[in-house]
Amino acid sequence: MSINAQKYLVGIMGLILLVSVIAAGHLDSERRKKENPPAVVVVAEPAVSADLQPGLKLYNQLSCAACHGPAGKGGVHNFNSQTGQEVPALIHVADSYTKADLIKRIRDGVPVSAKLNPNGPVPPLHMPAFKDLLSDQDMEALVKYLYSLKPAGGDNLGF
Amino acid sequence: MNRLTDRFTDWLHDRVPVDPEALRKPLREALPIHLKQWVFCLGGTPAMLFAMLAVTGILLTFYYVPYPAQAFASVTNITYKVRMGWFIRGIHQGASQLMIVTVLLHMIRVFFTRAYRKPREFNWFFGVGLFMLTLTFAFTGYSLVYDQLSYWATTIGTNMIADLPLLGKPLLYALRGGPTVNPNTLTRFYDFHIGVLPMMMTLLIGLHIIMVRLHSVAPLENDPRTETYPFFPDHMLREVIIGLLLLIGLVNYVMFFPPVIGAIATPGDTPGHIRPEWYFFPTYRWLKMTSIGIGMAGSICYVTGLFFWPFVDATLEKIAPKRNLWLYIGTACFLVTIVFLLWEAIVG
Repeated sequence: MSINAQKYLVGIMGLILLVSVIAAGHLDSERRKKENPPAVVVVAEPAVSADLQPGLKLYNQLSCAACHGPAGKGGVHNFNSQTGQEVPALIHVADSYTKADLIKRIRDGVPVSAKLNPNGPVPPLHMPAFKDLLSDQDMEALVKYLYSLKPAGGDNLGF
Repeated sequence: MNRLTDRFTDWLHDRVPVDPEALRKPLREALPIHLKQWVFCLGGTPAMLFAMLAVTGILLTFYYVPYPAQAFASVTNITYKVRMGWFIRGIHQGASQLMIVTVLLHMIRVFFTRAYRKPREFNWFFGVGLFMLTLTFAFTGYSLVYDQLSYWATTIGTNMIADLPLLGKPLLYALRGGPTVNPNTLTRFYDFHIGVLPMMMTLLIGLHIIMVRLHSVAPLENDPRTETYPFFPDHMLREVIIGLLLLIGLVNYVMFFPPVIGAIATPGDTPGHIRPEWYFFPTYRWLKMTSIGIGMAGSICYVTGLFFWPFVDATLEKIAPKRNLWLYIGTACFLVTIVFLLWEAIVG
C-alpha cells in the first residue's frame, strides 16, 4: 500500500472513529435513562452486647467472616473439602471445643483441609495460624465472642 | 510567517539548548524491509493500548472508591449513572484484554522468528517481564470490581501464592495485609494497580524500546533483502492505522456489549462456580489436574524456562546443532498451553 493510500486510510478511519464516538455519546443518554442499576444489598451486622464488642471487632478485623460467614454462620463453599465441601460454621464451637482446644486451633490454624475425593484438587481454603496476631487478652475476647454464637435453646444441636 | 516561526525556534532554542537534528534523527531510522509485513507491527500495539488504559484508568479513578463497603457501589455508579461511565469502563476492560492478546501475539512472533537470540537476550527478558506485568495488571484490576466473582477469584488466586516455596506465606500476608482477603487487600491492590505497576510498566516499556533502538530491529533469518524504509512517516503510519483500527473496534464492541456488574461481594457466600479470567485458564487447568505442589512447581518451571529461553535455545543449539530443537519444544509448549486454555474454556 502506497504512503498516500495509507494517509487516506488514516483519514477515513479517523472519521469512522468520530462517528462511532458520537454514536456512543447518543447511546449514553439512552442507556442512563433506561437502565435500572442492581440494588445494593447491605447485610446488617447482628447486634451484640457491649462485653462481646472487642471479640466481634477482632472477628471482623481478622476477616474470620470471609471463611466462616457473618456471625460464624458458615455457608462458605470450599470445594473438595471433607467438611461437607464447606468451611465449618462456628456457631457450635461452644459445644464442640473446650476453651483450651479452641485457643490451640486459632493459634496454630489448620494448614491442610482433608480432601473429600483423594484424587481431586486440594481444597482452596485453609485456616491460617493467628498466633502472631493475637495477644492473650485478644484471644480471651475472641473466644468469648465465639462461645456467644451458640443459638439460644440450641443444646440439642438440631437432632 | 516563516520569519515568525524562525524567531520562535531561535527563542525556544536559547531556552532549551537541544540540537533539533538530534531529535529528528531517531524518527528517520532506517528499518529493514521485512517490517512492512503487518505481523511485524505488533510490538507497538500493546504500547498504544497501554496509553488507552492509562487515560481511561485515570478517568475511572475519579469515581472509584477503594474500600469494600463502597467499591462495588462506586463501580455500579460508574456503570449505570456517571455520564459515559459505562463507555470508559468498557474501553478500559476491552483494552486490557486486547493488551494481553497483542502482547502474546508479539511474543509468539518474536519467538518463532528467533529475534531473541544473541545479542538481544535482555530485550526478551524485558518482554517477558512486560507480559508478567500485564497479567498482574489484569489480576489486580479484576479484583477491584468487588463483585462476587472478582472477590472469590482474588481469594483463591492469592491463596495459591502461599504455596510458593520459602517466600509464599510472608508474600501472601504482605499482599493481603492480613491472613485473609480484607479491606487492606483492596487498598493494596488498588495501590499496585494505579501506582506501582504503571510505574514499572513505563520503565520496562522504555527499556524495551531503548534496547530495540540500540541493537536496531532484529534481522529476519534467511532474508537476503537489504532494502530499508524510514520509521517516519512510513512505519509510523502503519502503527497509527493499527491504533485507529483497535479504537474503532473497541468503541463499537463496547456499544454492542456494554460492561455489566455481578452481585456484590459477600465474604460469607461463595458462588457455586468460581473461575479465573480466560488468560489464567491454562494455569488453572494445570493446577486442577495436579496437586498444588506439583502444579506450582510446574508453573514456576514454565515461567523460568520462558524467561531464560534465549539461553535454553543457545544450549540446545550447542547440544544438537541444526536439529531445530527450539522449534519442536516451543511448538509443543505453545500447543499444550492452547489445549489447556480451550479445555478449561469448553469443559470448565
